[in-house]
Amino acid sequence: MSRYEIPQMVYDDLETFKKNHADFLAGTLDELTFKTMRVPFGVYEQREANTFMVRIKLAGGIVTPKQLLTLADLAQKYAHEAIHITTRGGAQLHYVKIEDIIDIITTLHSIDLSGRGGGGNTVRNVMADPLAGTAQDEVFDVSPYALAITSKMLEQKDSFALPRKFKITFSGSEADRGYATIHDVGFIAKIQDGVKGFKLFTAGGMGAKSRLGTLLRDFVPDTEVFLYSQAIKQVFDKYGNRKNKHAARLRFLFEDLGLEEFNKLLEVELEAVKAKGDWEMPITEIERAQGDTTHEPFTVPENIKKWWNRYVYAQKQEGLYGCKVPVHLGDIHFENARALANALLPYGEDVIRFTGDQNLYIRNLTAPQMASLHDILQKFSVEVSKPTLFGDMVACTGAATCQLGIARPRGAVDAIQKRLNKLIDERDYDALQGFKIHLSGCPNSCGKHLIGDLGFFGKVQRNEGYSYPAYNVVAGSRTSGDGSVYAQKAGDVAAFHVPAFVEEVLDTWLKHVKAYKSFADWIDDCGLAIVTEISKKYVDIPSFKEDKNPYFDYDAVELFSLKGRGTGECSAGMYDLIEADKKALKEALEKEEKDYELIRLLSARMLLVTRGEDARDKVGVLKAFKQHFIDTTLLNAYFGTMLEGDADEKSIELAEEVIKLYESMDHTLKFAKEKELAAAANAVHEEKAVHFKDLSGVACPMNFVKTKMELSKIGSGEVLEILLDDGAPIDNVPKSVAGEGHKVEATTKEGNGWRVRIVKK
Amino acid sequence: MRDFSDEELERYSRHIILQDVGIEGQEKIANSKVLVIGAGGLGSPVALYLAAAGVGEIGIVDGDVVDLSNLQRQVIHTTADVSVPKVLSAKAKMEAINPNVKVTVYQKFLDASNILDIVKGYDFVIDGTDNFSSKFLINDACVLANVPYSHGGILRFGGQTMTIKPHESACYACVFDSPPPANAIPTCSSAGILGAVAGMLGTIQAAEALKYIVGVGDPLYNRLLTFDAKSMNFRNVNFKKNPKCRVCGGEGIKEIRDYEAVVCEAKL
Ligand code: HEM
Ligand code: SF4
Ligand SMILES: [Zn+2]
Repeated sequence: MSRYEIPQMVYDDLETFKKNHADFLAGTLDELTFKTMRVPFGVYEQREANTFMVRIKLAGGIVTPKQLLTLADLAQKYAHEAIHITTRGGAQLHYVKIEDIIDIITTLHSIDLSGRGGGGNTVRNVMADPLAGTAQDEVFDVSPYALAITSKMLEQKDSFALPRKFKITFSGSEADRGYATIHDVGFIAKIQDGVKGFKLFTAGGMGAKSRLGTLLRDFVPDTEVFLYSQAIKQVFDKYGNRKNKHAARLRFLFEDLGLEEFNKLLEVELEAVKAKGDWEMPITEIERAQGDTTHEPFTVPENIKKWWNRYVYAQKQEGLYGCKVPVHLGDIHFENARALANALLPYGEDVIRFTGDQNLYIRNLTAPQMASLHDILQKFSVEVSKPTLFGDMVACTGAATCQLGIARPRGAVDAIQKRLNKLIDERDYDALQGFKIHLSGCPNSCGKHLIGDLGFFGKVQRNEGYSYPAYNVVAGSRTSGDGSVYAQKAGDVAAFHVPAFVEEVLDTWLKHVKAYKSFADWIDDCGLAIVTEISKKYVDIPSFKEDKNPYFDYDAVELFSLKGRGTGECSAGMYDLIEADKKALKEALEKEEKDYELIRLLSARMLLVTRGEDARDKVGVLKAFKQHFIDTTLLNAYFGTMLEGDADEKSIELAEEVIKLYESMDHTLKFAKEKELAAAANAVHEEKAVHFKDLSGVACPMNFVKTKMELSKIGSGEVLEILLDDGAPIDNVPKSVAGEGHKVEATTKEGNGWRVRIVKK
Repeated sequence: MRDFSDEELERYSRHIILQDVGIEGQEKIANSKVLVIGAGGLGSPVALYLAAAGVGEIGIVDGDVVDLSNLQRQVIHTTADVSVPKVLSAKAKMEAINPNVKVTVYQKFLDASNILDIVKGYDFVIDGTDNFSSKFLINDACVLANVPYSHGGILRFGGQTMTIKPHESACYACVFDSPPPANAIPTCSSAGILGAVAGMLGTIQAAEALKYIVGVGDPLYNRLLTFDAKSMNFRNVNFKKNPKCRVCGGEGIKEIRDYEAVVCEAKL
């Protein structure tokens, strides 16, 4: 089996989604609510309004020829003719119309593929070493684990409403080609005392505050892969920071807790998962064609030799070969996909892998079979006939379609290739086999710039008041199970000069390549300073009057600007849902003619998601509301009386109360009252009213100013609690507050920052 | 308690951080109304600082238009404003600095017929005029209307200022009684003035106004602050309220009359 299993729950969810989709098209479901439903299905809006993309999970990058054929059909019919390979080895269909979404998802289900958890705050596509099952150096084949855990995770309800995304991967060897050391949960194959298992890393990831994973267990038997993944996920689910999506990833929680505390919480969850049962994960090995060892030794024909040396590799199975196929910017035209799929159909299911560097591998073919593909592959991309340097460039979608994008890395890749291509006969780019150039449009790292040899991520620069697109340069990453290292900052360059900069860096590196084991070694030795020096030549651009070109990004028809840049919807989640209801509620409250029934429904529904309820019909909503908010005494029993019979003007009081409650909610979804109740249960409880202000993310001295504002609103002797960031805020604000004569009663670590309790003088 | 917007909190953050000002003090500033008489050498810095500070309403009085020779010290006006009424030029700058401030303009010179009505509506008055007759007129009006005010005067390299709380502290007339005879003082055009001296004194007056509004510190009551920019010596000269003062004493004035004008040619 080379497929994961889609559990019944996903089909059930699809039925609900179909209804919502129909409502949305009919105009009876608002856009925001619909968004929170489509994103967890992997359906995102692109930067251009009303165009969408569908992200598809390919566990371990595995695609069967049959699946590829169907993807080709979908691409032709709905998606501008291209299948896109993502930077995590999944697939995407771009430019789809919202009307076609259901057809696409249904077709995907028919070939055992799902977009569920493709986006949003979910367990994302599970990756694996693209060479898994074939690599000479691997300990054992990790592909079956990627498939099995994908099926398992799809079955768990909690996989789809996490504080933020959650990424799992598998590497077959210490070379860590699956990037276990930079994932939320990363496994590296290992055999100990004859038992199959894994080294387990956790809390790695790129983006804001990138972090390398921490080695959590030196050995976890393979039977416990799900056990550990699920338990870590539960720790994340319970304690992760939901309120601030910029500090929500597991790595932030881990940094807060520290290894020891994290382990304590993990032990509790491990027990809980075990107690629940059904944690052992069935593994089905992937059947493999036998290598053709009887064949005459194969001589590679002269005319394809260059290609063969660059891209074909001998598998660990004698007589079998794999081959890397560079795909230009990860886009496969449907005709190419179809031709390849048809050619591979006779050779079984396990013959294609999509990779995180936006290319694909063919595998499990005999040498003559592989050689026979040469002609088909030549059409695949221009890179096929070039050194690997060309095909190994990775770029995220960037500002062309991504709402968070600053620069347009795909255009930059084209420009780099164009420039290097002119030199291809003069320079020995084959000496740079394996050199990786990675670009992201912004610091979010979807283009994985931190794990490139040379990496770029978008930024804005200004010249005489005009903005122009530019990149931060990073260089010299390493990946290995002994400890990975991210590329380090090496300078800034104008987007316009990126090709010339790359050319000069490569020229310089070519002079040293023989003297060093790797580019990273050179960077560490003396290369960093050299690259920085080079970058300085390429950061400035002519004035706008002299030359306007540098003020346009690649492929852009408009002058560069941050216009249209929005907040990404890649983490649309619970807060959007609540905000949607709150907005509707406020509107209903402002209406002259009040619809009490609607006000009551919205009030009751607004906060249900925080309790994990998703009832949407009236009876279900009111019942769940009573259970979670009245019976728990979070709200006075008086409000319970409003839930029976027809709604009347008292619903307005209910609405006000619910909004107040929401305002008292902290980022772990606890209400102030809840904490009070908990404290009351612990006997000692102070009577004073507690006021609260979240000042996390507010810098000095505005945090102090706002604290004074809050203090001015309350009476002497009353208590104000504030949240402050670590660093300067916590160092300064309490001192200043105390300096004004107020009493700072307690300072406790909370999330990334601090909770400070102040009694007004 | 007024809820400052985030924009306001940030704009006034350096006030609010001051323990003696704080939210409460800033709120007092925002609720206050100050009248600046004269949009010249003294009025320029005063109006700029009060607007920047967020004084809720500022009235500004001047009947003149901007002249090229003003620009050496009247920093609220620019070269482009030459020939524009001073109050309009000033209003534009104040609003540019702080759109939260309401500016009311009086494009006229004050005299006995109009001064009382205008002064009455304000919490504090700044005397930024350039002649003795106006200064005595302002003193009379403020005492009659019971509005505190800041007196200021400058000449060559020197300046003097005091703050007056009518009936509580010494008034201008307690100290100087009445304008000097017309020929007893050098005419201002022949005397001249160092531009920066106007700035020094004006900012002291602005600070006094803000201190008074917030209710912090010791205003220049019962003392005349004088300085000489050449030596940079500052001096406080103490006075007492004169119980027999022509203006604020027991028999004090009951109505307003004009003083004989001794107008300075080179307007301060
Ligand atoms: C409009 C918003 C965004 C779009 C369109 C986008 C797109 C993508 C895509 C297509 C991938 C490959 C995904 C896969 O196959 O599973 C990816 C990976 C990634 N995304 Fe995003 N992304 C967005 C927002 C963000 C944000 C806000 C962050 C971080 C704060 C982020 C961080 C990453 C990282 C670190 C990876 C890459 C590599 C990895 O973990 O292996 N993305 N992104
Ligand atoms: S790196 Fe930035 S620009 Fe690129 S896809 Fe991610 S969020 Fe968008
Ligand atoms: Zn007097």
